[in-house]
Amino acid sequence: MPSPWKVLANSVVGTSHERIGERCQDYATARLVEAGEVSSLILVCADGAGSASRAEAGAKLACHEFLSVAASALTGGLSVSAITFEIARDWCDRARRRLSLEACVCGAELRDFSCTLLAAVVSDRHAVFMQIGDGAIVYREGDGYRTAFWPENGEYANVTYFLTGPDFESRLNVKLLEFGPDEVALFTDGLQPLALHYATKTVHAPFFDPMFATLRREPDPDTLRAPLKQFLASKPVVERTDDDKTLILATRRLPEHDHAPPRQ
Amino acid sequence: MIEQTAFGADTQPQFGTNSFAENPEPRCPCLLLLDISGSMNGPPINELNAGLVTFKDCLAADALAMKRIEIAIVTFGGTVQTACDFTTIEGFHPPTLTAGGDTPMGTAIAQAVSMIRQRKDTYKAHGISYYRPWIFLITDGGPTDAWASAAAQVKQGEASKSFLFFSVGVAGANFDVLKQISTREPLQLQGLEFKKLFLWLSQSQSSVSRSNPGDGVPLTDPTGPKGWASTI
Repeated sequence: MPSPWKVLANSVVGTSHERIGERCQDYATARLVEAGEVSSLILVCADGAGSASRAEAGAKLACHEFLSVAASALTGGLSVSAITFEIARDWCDRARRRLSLEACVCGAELRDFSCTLLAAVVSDRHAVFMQIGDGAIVYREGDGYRTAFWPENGEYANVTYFLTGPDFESRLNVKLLEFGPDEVALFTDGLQPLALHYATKTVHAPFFDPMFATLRREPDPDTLRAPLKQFLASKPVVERTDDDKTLILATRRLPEHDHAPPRQ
Repeated sequence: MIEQTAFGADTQPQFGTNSFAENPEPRCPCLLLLDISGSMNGPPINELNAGLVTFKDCLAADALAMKRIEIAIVTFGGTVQTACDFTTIEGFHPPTLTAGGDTPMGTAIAQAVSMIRQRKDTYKAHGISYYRPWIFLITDGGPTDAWASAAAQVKQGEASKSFLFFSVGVAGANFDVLKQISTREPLQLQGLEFKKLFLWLSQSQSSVSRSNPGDGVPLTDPTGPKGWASTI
């Protein structure tokens, strides 16, 4: 049976990093894992710290290691509903140790690989979300969207927490949902000003509605990668935020759900 | 007009930047603590006033800084006054300050610390995120009132990362006292280079206001070859 999921992801380098010739320090990846009758979708993204010299490598390595550890656990028969805080912490720790090893190999420090980490594991009937630092995970519940966690910043707007931090365990948020949402989005903090409404701590639905509607209708999600990139780099978006931006959208909702045209 | 596409951004109408509802950008508060005592009379106060105009002009040229930086001015000369409460650059009209009176620096610092605390509470109440505030003291003398408690508040605020406190002495400033007040090394203004100082301050604030989580904020060294200050 073909996967019911359609996944679309892309990243763009922020104008503030572009100005100084830096590359995008965000990374995103996804994989569908089949174990017997059960299929689970894993989505991961990370935002490398601008001040860390190897943040780009850090974000990429952390995502790949996390994905590989989580995928092998699920393939081995772990069910999504059985993912506890301890298991999530162990997966994050594995990703963190991978960065430590890389630091050793290239004679660098762990903090040179500083990055946040956001992950979602979604099965038919459950979902687990994990997050260290800012950015957000958004899922559909009924007709609305919810954030798994409100982005974790320190007191100040330019401070957050990292997988590489000494206290990463105390900054790790884990949440289990007793249902399998049919739409999930992960994004790094560069998109927060557009996707979230700070005063009410809610999701800005008009940001997601048209994008999910388009993805539901499109038989081949890959054809939307270029338009998504274009959008992330477009003037109205860049005017609101000059940071790197990454967005992962995943839907298994059918286009028939769209009774009304997307809100303008 | 912005064309609406499948991935069209919902565009936000631009009204005043001072309202939190219209402008939900994170705020970068900067409080100027200015000595306008009698000794500042003449060229120093004139250069200071001109510097404030430069400050506004530079910040107004940066679209993001316009939305994010908030300025407040507390003056001390005879009395302590709030010459300008926290406002975005749009609502900042550089005052023409006149000099006179003694130097109640201790009272002024305490007021600045309290204003910073209140401003943070206002941000929190409106769900507005913010950067670490700066308090920027400029003086050509030394306190004529009690300042021990003010110095303690500065040290405590710096230690708890509540704000950054910078002090700049113009010729004649009591650097011994400034060193006891400020955790950071006081800087000495070269001559009356207020314009260069405010140019640097606007560039620094622009850098801070652009910084994203995890970014370092590189500031140019004010004591460098093209700077405006020397260390004591």
